[in-house]
Amino acid sequence: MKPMEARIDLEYLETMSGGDADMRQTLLEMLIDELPRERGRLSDAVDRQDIAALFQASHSLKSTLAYTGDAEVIRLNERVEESSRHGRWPEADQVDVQTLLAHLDTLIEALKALVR
Amino acid sequence: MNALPAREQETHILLVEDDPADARLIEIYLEESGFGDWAIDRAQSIQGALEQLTEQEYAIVLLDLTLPDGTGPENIRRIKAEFPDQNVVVLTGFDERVFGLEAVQLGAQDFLVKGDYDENSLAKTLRFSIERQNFIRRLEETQKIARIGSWEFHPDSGRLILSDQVLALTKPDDSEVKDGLPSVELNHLLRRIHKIALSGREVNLDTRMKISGNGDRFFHVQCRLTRTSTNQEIVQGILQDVTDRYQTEEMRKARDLARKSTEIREQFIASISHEMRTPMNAIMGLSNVILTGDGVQGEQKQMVQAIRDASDILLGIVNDILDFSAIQAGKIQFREEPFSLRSVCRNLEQILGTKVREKNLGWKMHIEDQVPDQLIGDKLRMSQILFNLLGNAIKFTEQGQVGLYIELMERNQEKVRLKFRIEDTGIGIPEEAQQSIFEDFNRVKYQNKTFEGTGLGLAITRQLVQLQQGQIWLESQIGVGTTFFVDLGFAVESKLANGHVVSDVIQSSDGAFRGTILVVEDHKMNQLVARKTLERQWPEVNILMAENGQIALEMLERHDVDLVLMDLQMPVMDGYQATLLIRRHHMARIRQVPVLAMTANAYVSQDPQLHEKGFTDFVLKPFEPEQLFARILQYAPLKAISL
Repeated sequence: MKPMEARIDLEYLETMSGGDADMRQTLLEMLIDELPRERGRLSDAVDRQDIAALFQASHSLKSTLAYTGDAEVIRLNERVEESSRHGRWPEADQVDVQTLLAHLDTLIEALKALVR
Repeated sequence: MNALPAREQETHILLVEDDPADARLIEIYLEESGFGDWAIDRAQSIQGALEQLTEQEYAIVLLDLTLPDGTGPENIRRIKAEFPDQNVVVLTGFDERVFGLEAVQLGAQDFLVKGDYDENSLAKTLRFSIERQNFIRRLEETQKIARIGSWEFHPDSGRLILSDQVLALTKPDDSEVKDGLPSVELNHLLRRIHKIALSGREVNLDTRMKISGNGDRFFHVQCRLTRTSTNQEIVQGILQDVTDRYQTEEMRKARDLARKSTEIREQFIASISHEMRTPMNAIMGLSNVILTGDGVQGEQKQMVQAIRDASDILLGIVNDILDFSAIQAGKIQFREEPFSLRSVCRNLEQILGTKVREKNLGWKMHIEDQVPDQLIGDKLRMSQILFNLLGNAIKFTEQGQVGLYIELMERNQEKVRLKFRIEDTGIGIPEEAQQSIFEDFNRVKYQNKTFEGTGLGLAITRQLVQLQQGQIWLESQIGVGTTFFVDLGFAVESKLANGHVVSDVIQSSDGAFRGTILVVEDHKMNQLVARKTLERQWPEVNILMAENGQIALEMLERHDVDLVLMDLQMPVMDGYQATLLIRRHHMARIRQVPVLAMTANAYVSQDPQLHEKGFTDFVLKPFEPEQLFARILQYAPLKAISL
């Protein structure tokens, strides 16, 4: 698989910060804090083959990802959420969770680079 | 003073008697009998009697059987031939009493034997004859109304007596009825059923009979063998015209059949459409997977995109067909619910924005200030109407702009009428096609190109408008553009169900808010954003935060909360369960609190659970701050202070 490129778009995060620099910083930090945690929950759910946990994780991830603005990851995660909401493993719907996990890793790295 | 008894109506009697002495005797008896008010005219011959009867109506004809121009039963026959309904009492000499019986058989009501009656029996006979005649008349009237006729058949003599109604029902016109003879068809029928009756069986059947000049009629026929007081066998029967009932029944059967086949067709269409959705989701899903991966590039990517777009269109078609069949089956119901016009339009703007940008078109939306935001009606159907028309506008426009304009036409206490204008600078619709464009399955051809779709979109749109008592029309010029107009009425309410007064000012987000909002949300970033967003807008707002439904319930009991923003998916207790428990809470204050669902699900308005669990409304995530503020002010208006 070719290395992926994160496409961060902070427009939503900026809007929600309302021009408040502190708020913007806090949200970014929370993002960097939350994303790895949620990624971990997602991969745990896959390892444990726990579909309910997979749904919870991807649902929660949806809100977090909204702040990153990465449309591709958002879409991929939504598809994982949709499948698991209906009790199906994403693979059954031709959605690869591993791709999502890889995307998340790239995204996390890109975010860290952004605040550095 | 005692009122005098009402004067009885005078009884007109025609006495047909050539013997003056007999005539005088009748008058004397009548005077002595106390018969009541009567007037008597006299004729001395059959001919004279017929002339008198032509000129005037008589309650009774007293007919002597020995007259200069006729003798015996022949006299009654002649009277009855001209005046079949005339009440006739026959006077006969003692030697001719046998004629009396015969006269009765020929239609006389009764007979009096000269020298054998007195004033009392005269009065009684006359009175009874009138009563009997009236009774027969009423019976005939009843038969006429019920379209029933009766007959008698005397097998010994072969005599057949048909009531007037039998003749009227089985013969095409009155002139033939008078001859008293059955039609050929009736004769056939009677011969057939009399045979059955004479064998001792009862006849009870429905049959069809040809009436010349009047097509086929349907009759219910009953007859049976019975005996007269003189122990003679006769067949008595009735015949009823049941054509109307039969036709109604036939129509009902046809209607039932039509309804049933329509139902089967609807079910078929619905199930086919549902079946089609599943594989289409797979096609769309797989195309998306391919497109999001890095596996395909260039031309291949375009091809996959084309597959996805085509399936998108196909899904639209399936939805059209489902809607169309629902309309055809009369199964469309319109909701009457409060909604915000501006937020519906903003949602539409978001959904259609992608297409507008893809085609590099300009976009304009303007809602007149005086158009109230809070309307009562079916927002989904209104969205669908605007979505169809705007979707068309975008589809048929290659350059220029597409716009949605909303104006206020009329307003009173309860209602508003709005005019929606959907304008494009597209290819335009040729004049000859403008008439038929709203018809089912009509598709516009342009430069020999047919555009995709079922051709149902505008038909559905028009139906949705008309079913809501609205109007839709268009103006168009080839190469310049098209404008669709939709005129729709909505209810407006000055009071919400909870009694809070809502004014238009509060509908906009330009209001201050000084109250307590409970945010139920497990996502840390969303919590922060919700809190900051609200506090920035309303510095005096008091925000409470709960991580799940369980905690929210506990907080509601401890705090006075004006409005709840409720996430749906949460651990421990989700938003659905929490809202259900809020609505069932023992404290009225909690039961009545407005609860807005916060959801990222764009199809939330179709989620039946929102209604069932008792959510007041919803806001979409990610938040559109303006929308969020407007909704809060809308549902917690007492804490709002307009600026």
